[in-house]
Amino acid sequence: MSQIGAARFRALLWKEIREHRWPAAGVAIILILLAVAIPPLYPFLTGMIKNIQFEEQLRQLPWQLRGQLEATIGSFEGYAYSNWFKNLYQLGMILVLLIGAPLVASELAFGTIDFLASKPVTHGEIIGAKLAAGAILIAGVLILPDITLWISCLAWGETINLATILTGSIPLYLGFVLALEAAAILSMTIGDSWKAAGVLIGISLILGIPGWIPGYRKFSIFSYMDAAPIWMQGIFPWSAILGLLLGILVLFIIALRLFEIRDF
Amino acid sequence: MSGYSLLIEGVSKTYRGSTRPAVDNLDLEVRPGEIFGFLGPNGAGKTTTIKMIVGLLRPDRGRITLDGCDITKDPIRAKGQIGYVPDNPDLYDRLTGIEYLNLIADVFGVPQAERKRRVHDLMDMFELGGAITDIIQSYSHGMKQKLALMGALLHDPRLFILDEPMVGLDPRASHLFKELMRKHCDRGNTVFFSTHILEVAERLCDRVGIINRGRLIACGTIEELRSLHRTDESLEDIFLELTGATTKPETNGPGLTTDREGR
Ligand SMILES: Nc1ncnc2c1ncn2[C@@H]1O[C@H](COP(=O)(O)OP(=O)(O)OP(=O)(O)O)[C@@H](O)[C@H]1O
Ligand SMILES: [Mg+2]
Repeated sequence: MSQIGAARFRALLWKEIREHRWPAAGVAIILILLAVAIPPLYPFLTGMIKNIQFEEQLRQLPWQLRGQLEATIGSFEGYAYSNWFKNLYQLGMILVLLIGAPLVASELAFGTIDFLASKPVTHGEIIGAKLAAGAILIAGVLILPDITLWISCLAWGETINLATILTGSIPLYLGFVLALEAAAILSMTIGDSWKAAGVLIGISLILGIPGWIPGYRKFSIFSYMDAAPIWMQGIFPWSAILGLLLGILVLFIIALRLFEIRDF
Repeated sequence: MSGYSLLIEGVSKTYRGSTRPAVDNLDLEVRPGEIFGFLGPNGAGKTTTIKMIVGLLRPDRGRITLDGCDITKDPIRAKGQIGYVPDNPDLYDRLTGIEYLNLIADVFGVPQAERKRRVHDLMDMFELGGAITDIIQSYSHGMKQKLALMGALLHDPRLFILDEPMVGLDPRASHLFKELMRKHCDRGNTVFFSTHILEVAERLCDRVGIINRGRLIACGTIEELRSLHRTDESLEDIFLELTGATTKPETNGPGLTTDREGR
């Protein structure tokens, strides 16, 4: 019996992956191109800054920007971290929206939910397969470009540990999975992809506000996703990881419950 | 075991935000090997009933059992017996035809060898062979309809449930399809379908039920319905009489009057 259950789940998972593979592939390609471009741009950037005697102008910049710039130029690691992490973070969030917002809403809009819900699968299996497919695709979209970045660094004579790059993506990944669950819940309750995406962006902005206030950064949930401790200090942020995992569990239970009681 | 393929007992459903029940205290039984036609005017509650049978909607009251299996209490086992084609089958546009069929076969646990044979047979029957590897987005309405029918038959369901199945099929396909329903029943399975095409119901169904405003107003063989009304009228006449279309001309509204005056 459980064997049939597993086969059913695999079938649903496969269907979800096929349906969402294109946005994932698109984001992965952009990230791979960036990973190829980041290392060769470093000498170019530092060279340019030294040539035009940037120091004076640098001092006039607001402190956040200056700090960022200094870290960027200071070492290749700092440069690679800030450029890579920012791109991964922004494009990853876009992918979460592309996959998560229509996850249930598109089935409601196109009426295909009738197909699924009339088959011998539980509602839990349906939403579980959807979330698992999203999580698998996002993992692929992080891992492939990460490896590309590592190879690209090697090719340009810079050594960054592959383990550092990959470990640095873990908190980011967990944050994406959390956001994906939130998107799925909104997609299911609102029933419209665009509105669900809009609400998720709104919530993300509100939750990110503390990050803009000096001294309150740790109250922004996005600070939990930051790879800086891993890249710059070699510290694994256990508490942030545990917090994210707890959030993932809670949202998963909420998503299951909400889907379980739905009429279609 | 109840001995019935499909048993509906005192089922009611009112949509949220509506004051009138879409289905009102419905009782219905369908026996194994039967083709049952579910008739009724627009908005009578046919689709609502079918959606409750296949587990898409929960009844407010009453019980639905499929081969003795309660659809709300044991949905997985009950749904495992159903092949369902909705009134407007919406398929996954981004999958190919064969991917869609494989998905269904996986979900129902159809073994590989049997799956191959059945896909092959169905493809021949519906003449969809050439398009089976194309993505569904490129299919015409009728081709989608055929694919949905193939998908619903792939696991050889005990209960074949269809909501207005003839819409969109060309005469050849609809002829084939009627034969197929007959054959499916001859093997001891059951077919339950809603339709507006009364000639089809008259020719094909062992029994029919007529629903109006959520209530079952007649049920039986065509002969039984005729003898009840002491006529040798066609099913159409009985239908019109029962559903009030001939006795209440005012339901046609003022539009008809102005139309006449205008001539
Ligand atoms: N999702 C819904 N929300 C609210 N009311 C609905 C909904 N779907 C159907 N209804 C109402 O329920 C009643 C029965 O509708 P149903 O779709 O079951 O009729 P039907 O017999 O299938 O009609 P048709 O022949 O036009 O397909 C109608 O009055 C309809 O307005
Ligand atoms: Mg209908």
